[in-house]
Parts: sequence; C-alpha cells; structure tokens
Amino acid sequence: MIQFQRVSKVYLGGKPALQNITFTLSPGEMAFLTGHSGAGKSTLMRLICGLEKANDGKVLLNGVDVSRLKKHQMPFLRRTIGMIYQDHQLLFDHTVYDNVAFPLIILGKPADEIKKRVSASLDKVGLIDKMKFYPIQLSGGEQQRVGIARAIVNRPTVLLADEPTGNLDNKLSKDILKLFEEFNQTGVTVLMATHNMGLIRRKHHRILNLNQGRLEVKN
Amino acid sequence: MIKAKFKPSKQKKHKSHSFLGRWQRQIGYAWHNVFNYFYQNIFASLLTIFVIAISITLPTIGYILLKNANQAAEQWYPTPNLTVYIDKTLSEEQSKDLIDKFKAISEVENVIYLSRNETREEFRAWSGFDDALDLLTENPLPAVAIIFPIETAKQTNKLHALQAQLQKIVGVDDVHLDDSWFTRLMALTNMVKSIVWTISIFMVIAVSLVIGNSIRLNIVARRQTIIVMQLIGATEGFILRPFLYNGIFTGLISAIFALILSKVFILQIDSTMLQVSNVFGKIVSINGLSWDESLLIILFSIIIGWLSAFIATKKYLNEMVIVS
Repeated sequence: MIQFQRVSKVYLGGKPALQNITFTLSPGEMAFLTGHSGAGKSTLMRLICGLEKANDGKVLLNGVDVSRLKKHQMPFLRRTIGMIYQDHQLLFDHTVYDNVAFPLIILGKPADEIKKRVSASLDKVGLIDKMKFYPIQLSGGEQQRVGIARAIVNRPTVLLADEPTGNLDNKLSKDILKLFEEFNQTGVTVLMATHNMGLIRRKHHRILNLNQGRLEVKN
Repeated sequence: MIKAKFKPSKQKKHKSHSFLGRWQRQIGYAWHNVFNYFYQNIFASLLTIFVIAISITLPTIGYILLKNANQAAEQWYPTPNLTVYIDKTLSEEQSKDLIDKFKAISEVENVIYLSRNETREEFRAWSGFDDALDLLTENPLPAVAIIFPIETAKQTNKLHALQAQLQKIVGVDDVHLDDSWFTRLMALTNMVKSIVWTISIFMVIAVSLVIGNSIRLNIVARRQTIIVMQLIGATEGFILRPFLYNGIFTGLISAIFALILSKVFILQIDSTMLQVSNVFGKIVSINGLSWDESLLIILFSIIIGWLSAFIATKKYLNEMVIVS
C-alpha cells in the first residue's frame, strides 16, 4: 500500500530531515510512527500525500510514485488519502457539517448523498448533535474529531494522522486511537504519527521509530 | 461513541454520478459561493461595482456623443460633390461619351449632366442677367457634370484623388471640389474619436485593475479556505472557478449599472437640447444606445471581468500554493 524505497529529504539549507528511509506498509495494516519532535514524522507524512517532494528515492502509494506526479495530478492523489492534521485545518467560517461535507462537494456529489455520508461520518466520531456548530464553539478534542470525520467521509483506503492526539488528554487520546483501530478493522490502512509512547505501549501494531531522520523498526 | 458502518466500499453506479451532473453541481456550488460572498460583503461589493460602472459609463457617453455627432453631420451637411467643367469645344455627343466615362469610375455613385443650353437656362433663371446674355453671340457657359461619390469615398484624401483622376481625362476643363467644410468636420470628428478611444483604453485598464484588486482582497480573505481545499484534493479549476465567476458577475452588474447611468445622462441632456433646438430652430435630440450596442457593452464588460479575474487569481494562487 505505502512503500518507501531509500527516501531522503533535505530542506533547503538545512540538515537532512529524512535519510535513506525504506519500509513497506501492506494494505489493511496499522502502524505507528514515533520519534521526538523534529525527527521527521511530519515530513514523512507530507511526502506520502505529495505536500513535499523527496530529493532521492521513491514514495509509492498503491504502486504510484508520488514524487513523480505532476502538479495537476496531485488533487486526485489526495482524494484517495484521508489526512488528519495536528492543527486540524478546519474552516472556521463554516459549520461542522460544511467542513465535513467539503471533500464531497469538491467531488460534486449530489446533495442527498452528501447529507447521508456526512451524517454517517459525524455519527461515527460522535458529533452528530453538533453539526450546526462552528468549530470555534467546540473543544480541541471535538475539533480534532471533526478533522477525522472529514478525513473518512470520502471512504479513503489510507488514513494518515499526524499527531492527532497532540493536544488531548489521555482519555480523549484513547478514544481517538480506538476510533482508528475500528477503521483499521474495516480494511483501511492506517499510519499514525505520535510521540505519546504511553498511549501505544500495549498495542500490538508495528512501530516505525524515527531518530534524527533515520528509521529504526521495532516489533 | 455510537458505531456506524464504515466501509471503503465501491461506489454505486448512479445516474447522478454522471459527468454532467457532477459538473452542474460544481458550477452551482461556485455560483452559490459568489452570491454568498456578495451578500456577506455587500457594501464593499457595491462600491467596487459603482467604481467600475462609472468607469464604463464615461466611454459609453463618449461613444453616444460621437455617434450623434456623426449622424448630425450626415443630416445637416450636403453630401460632398465634384463639379466638372467640360471643354466648350466638345460637341453634345462627345460630352455624353465623357459622362459615360465618369460613370464607369468605381468611386462614382451618380452623375448629373447639364448641357451648355441647360446651364445657360439655369444661369438665366438664377442670376437675372437675361439681357446681358442676349448681347453675347456665343454661349459663354460650359457644360457641367456634377459627380456624387460613393459613401466610402467621402474622405478628404479620396476626394482629392478622385479630383486628380477626373482632371486627367481628355475633354475635362476643370474640376472643382468644395470640401473646406467637409475637411473641417472630418478633422473635428476624428479628434473627438481619438479622444473617446484614449478615454476608453484608460477606462478599460482602470476596470481591469479594480476587478483584479477586489479579487486579490477576496483571495487574501479566503486564504485558509483555499489552503484547506488544496489539502483535501480540490483541483485548481475548482478553486479558480468562484473567482472567475465573481469577475463575470461583477462585469455584468457593472455594465447594467453603466447602461442605466448612460440613460440618465441622455435624459438629462435631452432637456438642455430642447433649448438648443429653440435657438437653432431645428429639432435636435440625442439618440441613445441600441439593443445591439447595449448587449455589446455588457459582453465586453463580462469579458474584461473574466479576464482580469483570471490573471489576478492565477498570479495570487501561484504565490499561495502549498507545495513547490
């Protein structure tokens, strides 16, 4: 599903962010991406959805080399990925409902289908009763769940979560992790970046640990 | 948390999934966005529209004045013509042949021929020198052909060329062209025309800048929305569309306002024209824009709106692209 072949990334004028990364994530697999702040977790995530370009190596998603895609092909790549951001990336001048509906509006789905899918998605994250609210009226955890609902509304095959539990307390973090495990059980490939080792300690999923841009595979 | 079914299942084939339906809904969404933005920023939007409307009104009024000046020139002044004096030694037959030669020239619309006898009769009738003419043994007046040029030849340089051409024909004594009033009128209309053109060009630039600037503000205001749209897989076309439609919408509404303003101007000037009519003893009235002309102005305004929105959006979106 996701395949990195000796990928390196250097930011302009800086030290290498990622060095010689090689790993494969099979379809339906769930894995954690760990490491200290600045270890390159976000960079790795951004490489998968084409927000950054690798300087060397190949990033394959469903067998397609992401770094070779043209600018106009990028939107179609991103539609197959559900991406969750640490800073949510929500629209504060739109309601929760509109925020979640956005990926479907972009696809030009009919109104009744949008309504059905958005409701299902919000139901899934437990925010169905707050769909008329604006993001500013929600707590941090709820905003994060809006982001998750938006990521899953188009039924992606890959779910990428960059520090989804970054600002949340333990109870909420566990809830969100449980949610991801549920998605994983339905066949979605999940890659979740986190620095919260306590949260994933007892989980049996693979852990990809980044240390100063290099990969150390555990389990 | 309540559980609901979540499966990355295959999408059902449905009529509304067709390309046309999708396209229609995306366009509908873009227009919805345009109207939403308009209502949310009604004051700023109206301000922009009025600035553009006035910018379009000025050259439109210039055009109306120019058009009316041209019409007035055609109504009030006789068509320019050339008077050809035919050599007195030519016989009546030879003169007739000469007239046929004149008629064969492509710039000539019509020829009126007055034989020597006819000119004498005319002179007699107009001058009152009957007795003086009777004293002369020979008719002193030549035969005359009055030549009317075709519409496209009614320009100073072409008339002069025609005059020179006629002069060369054997049997022609002299060609007289009275075009002093014509030259002056043409110079005046040409000057007004070039002024109107210059104003129009400046106004088109002004309109483009105003629309471009309002689109730029619109983009800055919706920066976060644009970034999020890029993140979740919106194509460039989808992001561009609301801005382009905004340009079209602004152009359309401004043009309609400009037409209303021009109409107000005509009504206003018509009342002062009545006084002019009294002084000159002639009925003077201003002709407004025809339907064709109004439609053309609307179309032109829409095209400017679209084009300047396109250029502005392309430029500012490229600066904002999240991926290099």
